[in-house]
Amino acid sequence: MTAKTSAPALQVKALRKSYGGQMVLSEIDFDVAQGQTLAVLGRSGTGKSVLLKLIVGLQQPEAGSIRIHGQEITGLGLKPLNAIRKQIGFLFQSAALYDSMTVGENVAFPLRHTALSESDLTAKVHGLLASVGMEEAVDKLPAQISGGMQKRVGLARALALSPNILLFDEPTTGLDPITAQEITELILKLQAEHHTASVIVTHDVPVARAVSDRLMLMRDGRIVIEGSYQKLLQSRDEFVTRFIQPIK
Amino acid sequence: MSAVVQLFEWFGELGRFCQRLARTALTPPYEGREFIRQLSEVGANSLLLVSLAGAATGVVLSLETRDALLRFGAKPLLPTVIVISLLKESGPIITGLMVSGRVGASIGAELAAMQVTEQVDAISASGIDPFKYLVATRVLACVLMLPLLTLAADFCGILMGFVTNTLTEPVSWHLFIKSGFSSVTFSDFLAPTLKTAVFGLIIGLVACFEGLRARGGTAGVERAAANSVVFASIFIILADVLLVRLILVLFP
Repeated sequence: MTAKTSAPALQVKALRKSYGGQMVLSEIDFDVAQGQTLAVLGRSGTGKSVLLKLIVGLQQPEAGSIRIHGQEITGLGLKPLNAIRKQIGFLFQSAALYDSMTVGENVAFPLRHTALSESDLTAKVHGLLASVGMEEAVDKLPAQISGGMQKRVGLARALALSPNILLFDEPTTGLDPITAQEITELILKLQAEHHTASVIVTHDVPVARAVSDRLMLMRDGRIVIEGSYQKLLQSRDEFVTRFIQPIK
Repeated sequence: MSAVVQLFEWFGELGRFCQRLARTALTPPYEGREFIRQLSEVGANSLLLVSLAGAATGVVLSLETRDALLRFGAKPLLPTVIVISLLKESGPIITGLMVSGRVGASIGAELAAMQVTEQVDAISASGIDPFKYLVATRVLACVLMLPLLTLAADFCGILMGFVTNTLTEPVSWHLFIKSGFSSVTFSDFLAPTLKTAVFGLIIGLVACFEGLRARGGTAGVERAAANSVVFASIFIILADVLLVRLILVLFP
């Protein structure tokens, strides 16, 4: 699937969100072009995951604009929103695999709502699982595989509809360093293969540096700085310095 | 005061939930595969429980009413009393309450667990409406399966009523059935059986509603499961009172 317009794959403007009077996101502006990756960094509870949920329409912002390939999605009805959601792959922090379904059924789930024949669907599921190195686990339940494996299956499911935008919510959180590195390499490989526009929410600076073209650091729901890793390194802001270089 | 406000909020949310369900459930595409799976979950997996409950009710009815009828010299009416009691009230209400316990808790806990672990969000993020996939399929399966399960409970109750009666005083199955159904009209059977579709609607709606509004990890799942059973059971009993009155008006 390719972008139909020359607009950025993802464009966010003046986004604002609060819960019960408490501001969670304020004046968020950024865009991501097709093939580019933006890493969103910040401490826990700073609104990073909420930002992803707003982008995919799971929550509605109070103000601001979110455009997917030029199409505004805020205030969109469920039917057109669902059509746009099919262009977006989402890897949840917990992988959010359907625990009553096998690994294969999890990956097949989004495909069951397409016109694919059963044989094509089976072939596609095996292909997707092979691309994340999980083909042998096709008949296992999510509870029977490790956290790292669940993330891999989550990635395969996120890629099932060949999305042109990928959203990753803390893809390496809770994983051991080697598995985290494997997931990072997998993300890099899939980005190169699928040429997606990606947003990665993380507080893991090495992962953000490895997979992204630009980094965006948030604090208390606002953007502190956005740019290349070099730009963040050169910043004299104490918060940016502490976040980027935690150990001296 | 806050409890009253919460109660009104609960009904308000339930109203919006029903409105959204009605809007999404009636429009294609339909989730046929999941619907068939739910028919099995609600129907086949409740069959044994409901049959046992119906059978036990038949035994108790036979034992309890026998003595009472003997006192008034009305022993020949025993088959009729068993059949009418089961068809008109015992079978439907026992089925409603048993399924409310088994299926209500199951749906409430399953959807709540899916909600707190972001699985419901994952369905939405895939461009699939969770109301269509999770709610409509379960509610419709409950509506369709309750009358069929009631038939099973009625049958097992009548059968065990006959067996219990025969152990005390042998009587042929043919005679028992002929005597039992001699004064049963079609409306005695049809309306009470079909009213359980309303019980199914209550079980499916309340359990899905409680499941999807769950928050707060395992405590939220536990609360959703318990609330599903408690609220569905209360509403079934209240609905039964109203429906019995309505049936008496419509089929005097």
